[in-house]
Amino acid sequence: MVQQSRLARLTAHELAGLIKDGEISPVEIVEACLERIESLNPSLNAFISITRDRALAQARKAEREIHGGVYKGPLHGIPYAPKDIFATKGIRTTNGSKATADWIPDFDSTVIARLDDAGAVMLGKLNLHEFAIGGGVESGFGPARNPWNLEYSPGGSSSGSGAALAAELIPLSIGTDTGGSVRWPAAYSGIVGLKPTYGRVSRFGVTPLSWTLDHVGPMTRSVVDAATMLQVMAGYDEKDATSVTDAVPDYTAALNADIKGLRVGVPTNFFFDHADSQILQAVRLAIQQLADMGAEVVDVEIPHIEYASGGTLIMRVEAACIHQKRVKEVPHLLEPEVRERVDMAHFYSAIDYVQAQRARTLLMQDMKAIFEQCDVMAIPASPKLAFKLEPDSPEQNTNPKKQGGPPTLQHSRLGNMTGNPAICLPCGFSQGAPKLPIGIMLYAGAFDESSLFRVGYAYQSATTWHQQRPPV
Amino acid sequence: MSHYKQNRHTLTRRQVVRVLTASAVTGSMAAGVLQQPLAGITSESLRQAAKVFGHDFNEERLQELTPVMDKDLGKLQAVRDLEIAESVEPAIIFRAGR
Repeated sequence: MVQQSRLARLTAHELAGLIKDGEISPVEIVEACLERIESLNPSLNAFISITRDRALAQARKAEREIHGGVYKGPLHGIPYAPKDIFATKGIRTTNGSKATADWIPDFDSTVIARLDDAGAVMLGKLNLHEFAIGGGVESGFGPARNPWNLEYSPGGSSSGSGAALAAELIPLSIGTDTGGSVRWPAAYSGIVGLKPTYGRVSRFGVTPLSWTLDHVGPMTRSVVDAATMLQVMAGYDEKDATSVTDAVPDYTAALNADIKGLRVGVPTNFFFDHADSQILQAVRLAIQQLADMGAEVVDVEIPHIEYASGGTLIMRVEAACIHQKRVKEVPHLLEPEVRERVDMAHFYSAIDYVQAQRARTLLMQDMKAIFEQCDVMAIPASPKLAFKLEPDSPEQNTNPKKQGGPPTLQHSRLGNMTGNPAICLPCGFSQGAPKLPIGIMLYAGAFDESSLFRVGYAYQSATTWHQQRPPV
Repeated sequence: MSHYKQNRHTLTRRQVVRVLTASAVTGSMAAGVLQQPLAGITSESLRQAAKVFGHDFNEERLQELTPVMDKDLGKLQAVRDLEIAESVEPAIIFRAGR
């Protein structure tokens, strides 16, 4: 029998097994998570809203259903919390902004509806960088903090998701990723984050930041859980014009730990040129681990990687279209970064925007060529460790959004520019103090999330980085 | 191989610092020079540009935006300088039929 205090710390896969076998009730799990949230959220600031009563009611409903023989699958009775940018019917959806702090949607976003149909239990809404437009620092509700060290950012913009998962407040979350906002928190917080292929998961009901770059993805503590979540989230949605009709494969079939003969591409240009030495070491060791398990390591090159810098321009222009009315009418309710980025975009021309979209075509061609040479491509998830929320001096501010360094942003932005799927996994920790997570990022060909799950699962079967937890 | 054009006309802040250091211009004098817009962007030029695209920024906002835009211009120029063949079409993905 698992102690209730341990329940919040189990993965969704482990919890599902206990629920299915009748060893534990969804109500006990939800109570355990709520207790941990109430204890730790004051210091982490991961949750903006906690929907305690609703969660307990949902858990009791799941309990009745399961006892009655209606088991909906591996998410039935499992707690989760979305980034507070997903519309939730009857529950306020703040977007991390004072400007929309009181918005209560009368509809659910498609992904929330699908998780609800699968029996998942929502515990509340998670903190984020205001309107998802930055690295997790500027929220109308204050920044979320990294459980590995509270002085550091958990990454953003899905900052609350990173913090809540790492601190074991919840086993599952969903985030959005326009330039890396699922994968940065995964790297900085030591969790798993997946950005699926553009069009694979519906974005209906998610407050947009950039229509052509926005993605929705699962955030978890294990690859198994990410595959399980994507299985439920993925699929055509007529409410999202970019949603694709392609059949959704059985992702769990990829979880077999056999990667013999699988080709792991390692870029010879750019990605390993500017990362911190301890990050390089950890990522190289992870690639060696995959080779030891039978994968074939091959060199690849992305000739146009520098063109990914056009992603910033695309994002700002599209964000300006979305937020310009708000910036004009309620600037006093917005954090400085939203105002600044929207105002700046006015000075970009239509030619600049189309030029950036043409650069994107070249990157897509690069990626198509790469995935004819390999099955997945491995790079450092971020070339830098998590940054301090309140740096001692501007020079020590390593927030990549502030530094504006293309090398940092382009590791993740490549996937938003091309639409290719990418997963981020923990693969080590910094040496000395503070102990901060290091992540590896794997890219795959369009709609080949299965290869990411296959490699990720194999790696987590052979290592224990994902099982290490912060001292909270 | 870099895909950026080599004949850029704008100086980066780092380049200016290097020149100032070589010229023994330091301290408050250097700081004064660095506060000047490198690409020649002033609040007045932003005001004029804003007239063209029909947006009305107040004076305080223009003062705030001037150094930010000045800093951003190099990155914007990098996108403008990308060498792309005429045959490359933009990757704007929209589905007809909705």
